[in-house]
Amino acid sequence: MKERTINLHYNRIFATKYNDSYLFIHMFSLILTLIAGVFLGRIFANNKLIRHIPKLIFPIVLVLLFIMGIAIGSNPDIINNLDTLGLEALIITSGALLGTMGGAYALGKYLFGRKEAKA
Amino acid sequence: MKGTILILLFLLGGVWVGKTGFPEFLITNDYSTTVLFCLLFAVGICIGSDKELLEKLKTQKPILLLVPLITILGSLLGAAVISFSIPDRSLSDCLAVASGFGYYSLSSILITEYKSADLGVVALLSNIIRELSVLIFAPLMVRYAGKLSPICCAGATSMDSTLPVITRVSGNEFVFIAILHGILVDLSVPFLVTFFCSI
Repeated sequence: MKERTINLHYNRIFATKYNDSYLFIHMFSLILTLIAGVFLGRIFANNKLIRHIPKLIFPIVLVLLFIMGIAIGSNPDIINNLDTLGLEALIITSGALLGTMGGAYALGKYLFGRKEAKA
Repeated sequence: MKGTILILLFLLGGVWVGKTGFPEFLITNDYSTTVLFCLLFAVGICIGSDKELLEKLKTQKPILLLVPLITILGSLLGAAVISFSIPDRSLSDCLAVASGFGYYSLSSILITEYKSADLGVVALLSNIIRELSVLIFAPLMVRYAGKLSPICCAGATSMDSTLPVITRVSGNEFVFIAILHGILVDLSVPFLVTFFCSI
């Protein structure tokens, strides 16, 4: 019963459009958009308007976070259990991040350390 | 510092708007896809208009394909170790949450479906924390764990929402590996999440 309700909540913000084929089309079109941007940026590299676009990136990230906040805030299942579920999430994430950073540190040391030694 | 405050302010502002439900058109529609497309388009233009980038790309080595592997193994290993400090959750629960790699929409839906609703919420929050910590702590990550660490910590988001931060702190020459890394980690999410949910 509980799972039903939470699914409905997800539906409103996330789930409605996510099925397998949608996810791949979604990712594919995101990459196409990026490539289109690269070509436009290349062609119009000296255009004044185009050179102002990088300044827009951070504001766009802020808008994305705002939308993410709405998804959390409008979901009572998250808001009402934020303390316990949030703590669990924080513990698991910090474990994963520490493991990842350790790996990244070792790989970086191996790759770039060697490069410096060569040069 | 100013950036960090803005990031938290906008996230909390969104939570407040979602909770009070005041401007109804914001609650009932999901604009995140549209904004994500705008972001990637802007990032693309930023990459395209950088004239020295192509030269920098030539110095990248194919061994950098190892980076996504490090991300996946490091995250799973770290989550496995720390799972013993959470008595309520099993090892496979924690691994399923950790294999979201920041891809909050997909992984939390899969986990809600295959495991339980509250673990789905943990996955959602965990992935948001992962993305936020890269947005906020990326400069520190570079200083203490090297230039690859923000990419690895960003997980699947290294090709979209955290890409601008990564290129700023690690350098523009890392944009290619960040995107490739994002795509490969992204693809691994559905497989790993369903795998850990089924054991």
